[in-house]
Amino acid sequence: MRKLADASLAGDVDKITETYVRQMANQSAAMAPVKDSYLRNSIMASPQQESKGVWTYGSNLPYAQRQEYEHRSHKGFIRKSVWRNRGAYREAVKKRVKKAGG
Amino acid sequence: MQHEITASLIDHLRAKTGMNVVWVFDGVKLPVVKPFITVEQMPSSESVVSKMRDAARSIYRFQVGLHTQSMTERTRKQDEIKRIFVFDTFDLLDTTQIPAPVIGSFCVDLTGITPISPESVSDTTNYHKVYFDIEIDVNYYG
Repeated sequence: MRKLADASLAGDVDKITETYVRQMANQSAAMAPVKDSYLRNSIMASPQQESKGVWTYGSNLPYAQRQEYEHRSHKGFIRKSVWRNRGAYREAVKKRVKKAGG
Repeated sequence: MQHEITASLIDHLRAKTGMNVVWVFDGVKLPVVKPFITVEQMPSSESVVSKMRDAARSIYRFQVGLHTQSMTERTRKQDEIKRIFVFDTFDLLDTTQIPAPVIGSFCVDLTGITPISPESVSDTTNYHKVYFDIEIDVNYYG
């Protein structure tokens, strides 16, 4: 029973994480500079699962990092969405863990 | 509080590193002579933390840029600045008065260190840069 509960908790945390990462990726893509749509599309397509409960997103384009820190009007398009969602994500995970009696 | 925290950060970095520290504002011209440090405000997060609205929380964010002349200088000064953010307690200055008295102190959370390369190898003015992401978590009581 314990193993079953642990698996269910891990699965739920993974789902919560995926939901927030996809949401952050969509928001980042919407805030990214648009010269062509390569940067935006690369962010939209980027969310991927590294392991259970661990998801990443970003861009594989060589200029993405520089734009993130130095674009005149759109800098911080990745960090802003992380900052915006960080608190709510932590609360959602905390709520699920509490429900499991953690 | 934004002005006080920014000025306090700049004052501390100037005193500890001996480098020119530039407050990044609209239209600022960056120095030609390296090394120098830039301090730029990023979006903060605001929240009310009690039901009766008698306590609130702000997370102030900055990106601090280190602009240097060489890779050696960058990596050495990067470590120096990292230690300042990790270990130092910063004096909080009351910038409404001249000279600004110390009215408290704060610590900084270092959340990232990101080296940035220029888009083109011919863009030598943008060589050897690194950015620090920092946060200052402040609670207010009404």
